[in-house]
Amino acid sequence: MLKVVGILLIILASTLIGTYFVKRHLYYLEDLQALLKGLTMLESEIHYAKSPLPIALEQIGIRLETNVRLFFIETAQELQKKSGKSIFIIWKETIEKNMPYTYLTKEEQKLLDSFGKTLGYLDREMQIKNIALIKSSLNEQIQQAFSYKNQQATLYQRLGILGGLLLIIILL
Amino acid sequence: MEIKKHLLQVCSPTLKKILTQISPQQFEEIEEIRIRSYKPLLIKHRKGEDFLTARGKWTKFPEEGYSCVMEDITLTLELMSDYSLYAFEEEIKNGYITLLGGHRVGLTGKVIVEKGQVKALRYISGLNIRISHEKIGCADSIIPYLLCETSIYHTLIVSPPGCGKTTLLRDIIRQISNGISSRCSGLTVGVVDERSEIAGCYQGIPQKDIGIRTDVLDGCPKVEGMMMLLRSMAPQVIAVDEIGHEKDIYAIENVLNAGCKIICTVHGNSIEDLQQKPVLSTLLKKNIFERIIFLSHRQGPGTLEKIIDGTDLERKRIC
Repeated sequence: MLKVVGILLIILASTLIGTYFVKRHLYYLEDLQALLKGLTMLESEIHYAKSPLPIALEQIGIRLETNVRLFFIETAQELQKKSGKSIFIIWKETIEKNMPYTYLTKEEQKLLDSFGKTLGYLDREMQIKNIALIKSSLNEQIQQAFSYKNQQATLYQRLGILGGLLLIIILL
Repeated sequence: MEIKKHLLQVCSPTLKKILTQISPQQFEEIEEIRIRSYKPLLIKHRKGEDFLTARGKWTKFPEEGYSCVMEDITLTLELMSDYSLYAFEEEIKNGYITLLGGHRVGLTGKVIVEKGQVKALRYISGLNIRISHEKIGCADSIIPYLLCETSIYHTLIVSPPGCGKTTLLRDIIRQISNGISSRCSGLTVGVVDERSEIAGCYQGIPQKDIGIRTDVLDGCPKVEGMMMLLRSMAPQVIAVDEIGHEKDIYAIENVLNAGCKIICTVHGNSIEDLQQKPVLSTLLKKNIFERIIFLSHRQGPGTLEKIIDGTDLERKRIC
């Protein structure tokens, strides 16, 4: 009896581990999409509404779903303080601070950092082009993440279950 | 004090430290703050000009002045524009941005030109902060000359830059809009505030006292603005700042045809000076302006030199 319970527990645990990896990847994909959505909104805020960044970023932050919103909301709050820090520093610090709350990777952090260097500076045309640049890189990431999801998701799930079974066989 | 608070908010930390140490009385006197890269920090005030040391003291010796660095300028600019220079694109093309409170900041640097037109300003290296002082009541002595029966005369205010044209215009608008107790009930005034200097609008709301019957089109080109006001707001008086473009004549004529009164300002020293400017001479020949006010800097900004009757061919002096 005890053995059966043990076997069931092992299978359950290993399946969960497999599912965790799949889910994690799904969340990562969600974060990527949210970021892309945010940047698209920023693009139109700058292009059509000409809203200043503190207002634009806050508005966008409120409308986003995942924790990516923290990047936008907290930058907006920091900007409104007018502490005298440059926007590049503020953006970089906010990203660094909130990175652990998202599923994004070092790669996206690098993209966002270099994007911050030109944020707000000079004319709208330059802003739009910079946003277009980071958006195209993000789109690539999303494509990759999608194909990865299709190929690997089922693999991880099966690997989980099979790994569990393997363990049981060895233990028996 | 409000002015100081607003200004300090948009200055880089180093400049903020220096400007904080200026006493409120001294701050009241400042008209311009000039920040140029690698040059000493300069202030212009009622009595002339002085350099500012790193400790906020006024000095006559340039070598004692705090030497501004590029970082001061870029940071100040970021703060002034709410970190969003792109939102001021149109204004920057004209060489300035306007701060909360109606203070105008002039910009210089490398100009990017495309097809003969200024496209942008890059590497901004010089700032001139012109502090806009609100002088409630500065038009008291002039107003009696502008009133006629139930309305006012068409008025032109003439002076060199920095002599208080806009300040005077603002107070005239305030007084005629509120109404002057015994002589004139309030008039509906429409203001086309192309450079946000008259009403000092922030997000569309006037920050300066411009009276209770005043409508403001903020940041609107003069010609279009005057037409918009005529069409929709039924103004009795239209006020604009710094006329001088050919198209302005056309707009002013429309205002006159609609039966509105007009108050405007223009750069200049004397009537002879105005007659040499093509646009202004056309307007003067038509004898439109019934009152022309001349200001100078002789006894500080806003010194009234004279008021003349523009419709009179001899240009008789009234005051």
